[in-house]
Formats: sequence, C-alpha cells, structure tokens
Amino acid sequence: MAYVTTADGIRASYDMSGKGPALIMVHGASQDNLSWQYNIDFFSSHYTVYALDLPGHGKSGMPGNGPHRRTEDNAHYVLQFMDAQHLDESVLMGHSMGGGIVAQAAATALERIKGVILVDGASVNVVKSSGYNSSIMEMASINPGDWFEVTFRTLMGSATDPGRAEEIVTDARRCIPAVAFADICAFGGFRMEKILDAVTCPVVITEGAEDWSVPPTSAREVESRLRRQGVPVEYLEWNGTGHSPQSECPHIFNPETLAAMQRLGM
Amino acid sequence: MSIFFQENYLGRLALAGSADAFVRQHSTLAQLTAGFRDTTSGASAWISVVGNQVHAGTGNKNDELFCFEGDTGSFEDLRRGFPLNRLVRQHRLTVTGDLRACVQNWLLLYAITRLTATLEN
Repeated sequence: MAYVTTADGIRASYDMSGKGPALIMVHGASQDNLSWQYNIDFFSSHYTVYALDLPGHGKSGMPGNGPHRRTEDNAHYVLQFMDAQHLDESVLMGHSMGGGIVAQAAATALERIKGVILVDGASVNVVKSSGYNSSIMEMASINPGDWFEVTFRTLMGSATDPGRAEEIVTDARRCIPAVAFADICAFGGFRMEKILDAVTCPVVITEGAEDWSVPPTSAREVESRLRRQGVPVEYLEWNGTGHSPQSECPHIFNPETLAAMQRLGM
Repeated sequence: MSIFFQENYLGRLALAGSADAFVRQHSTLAQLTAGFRDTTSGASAWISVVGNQVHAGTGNKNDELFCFEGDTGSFEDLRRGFPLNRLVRQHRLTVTGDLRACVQNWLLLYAITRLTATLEN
C-alpha cells in the first residue's frame, strides 16, 4: 500500500506490483482496490499494475468538497494520479462505474491512454438497465449501504461460488454510505454514449452474461459503435457470470483478458 | 390473480422466513408490516416481521407502513424468485406510503422475498 498526493490535494492510495508498461485498475461503485485482489499478481507479470482507490474509497482521502458525484471528476483524479506518478502513458482497466471513468479519461487524454478495458463497464443506456430515475435515486439516498448490499447480492452469476460472492458483498459494505450514494449519482448520471466518439484507443470489453446492471446488450452496443468508428475492439463474455467477472471467475478472466489486450497491442 | 396472494402460499413463505438464518440476521428488533397489492386483480396481502417471527396473510392488516404495487405479471415473477429490488428498479413494482421505512428495511425485505425462489422449487 502506497500513497501519492494529486495536484488537487487528494491523498491517493494504491497498490503497486510488477514491471513493464503501466496498467491502472479502477474499481467500481461502493468498492475499493480489493476488487482486483485476484488479478493484480497475474497482470503484474506483464505490467506495472497500479490498483487505485478512488477518492473517499479504501484508504484514499476525501475531497475537500465531499465525495465525487461526477464521473468526469473521477476521471480527472485518475489523470492527476498519472501525473503524480510521472506516467506519460498508461493502459486503464475499469470495473462497472470505473469503466465510465476510464472511458472518460481516454476521451479526455487521447495521447496518454494506450488502451482501456471495460470490465462490465460499457455502461450505455444506464437509465434503462439500472432504472436510475429520480424516484429510484431518492430510494437509494435513504439507505445507500443496504441498497448496495442488495444490489450486489443480486448481481452475482449463477456459477459464482457463494463464498466468493460473500467476499464481494463484504468489500462493498465497507464503503462510507455518503460515498456510496455519490457513486450512484456518478454512475447513474454518466452518459457513456455521449463520449464514445472521442475514444480512439484500443478497447477490450468484458461481460458477465448474467449482468443486469451493465448488461451484455449495452456492451454489444458499445462494441458496435466503436467498430463503426474504426476503433480496435475485443469483446469477451462469460456464461454463469454476473457483474464482477474479475472476482467471480478470475481463472478465466485473467488469461482471456490478457490475451485480448495483447492482441490489441496494449 | 398471482398465487403470491393465496393464503396457503403466504403461510409457506412466512414459515420459510421464520426458519431462515439470513432473515434472522436482519430481523433483530424488527417490527414491520409491508403491504402488497396486485393492481390487475385488486388482491392484497401483507407480510409482518416481529422479532424473528415472520407472519403473512391476505387482505389488509391495517398497520402497513408502505405497500408494493404492481400488476399480476410482476407478482408472478416475484413468486418465481425474481428479486424484489430488480422489480422496483425496473419500475414494475412501485412503493406507496412511507418510502423511508421501506428502504430502511431493504435488506430484510430482500431476505424474506428471496425465499420465493426456494418455494418455487
């Protein structure tokens, strides 16, 4: 565990491992860098892996004006983390809400992002898939911790080991409720469809076939749009798997995702 | 009308809830009555949790803090094990009454209604 302070004064906590090109992993809503505990060692054989905690998550500091409620602010934080690490370029891997963050970063800093991996994070049509209208947002704001626990419990794939599912839920429960609700705002308010035109780097899209939060139909739509733009894309989907394939089936996720990244020259 | 609103079915669900460890884990000091209303047929039901005991019945109990409302298809899906939270997120079930009391008991409501999947099998 290490820390660096971003230009905005946020203490950014991260785990670092391995040697090679930089690969920054960005977790999803209500989680932290433990999301990547079954992936860091594997990818660190090929990359210098930075598993980053977003502001207010894990051991990272809280921004002075409270938790980030916009994906754009989290993307800015990731790019500032790169600055603080003196990384001219990096590959970015983002899970769920983190997928929107890394896509936004890639759209903002074209020359610095050499590829992105959207792990159940190709989140177009988010209002339709996740139902986040004003009424649902009001419900989530009342009790974000329990709201997320129930969400996570219903996001597991049918083939996922129950013990692993409990681990994922336990990790999600540790999040500060105000931060968890800010994540809901960031995820529910982000419109990936509006920034896809600006993404030019290679993209790997991974999906659990049973994910209902960022469902395969959304991910396929992102794949089609990027292909039409001439962006190199790889699409991977695993049966029996829910919203967190990197934790639910790392023995499949790790080698197949790495192979796709290598095919795209990341 | 969905089978969910039959007295026998609700009795089985209440028995399963009273015996379930996950429900017990989230029902400490609970005192809650939730209502359910099929807007297609007009049928209604209630589920009540007092301490570790789950009770359920048809009609109105008159101390429901809030009510889940939806059409027959929604309650048939709930009965088949489709998660309550997803029906709400899909806007197929809506909550009337005390929204705060509903979401403050979100885990308990999920814990009980998830048992419909075991009754289905």
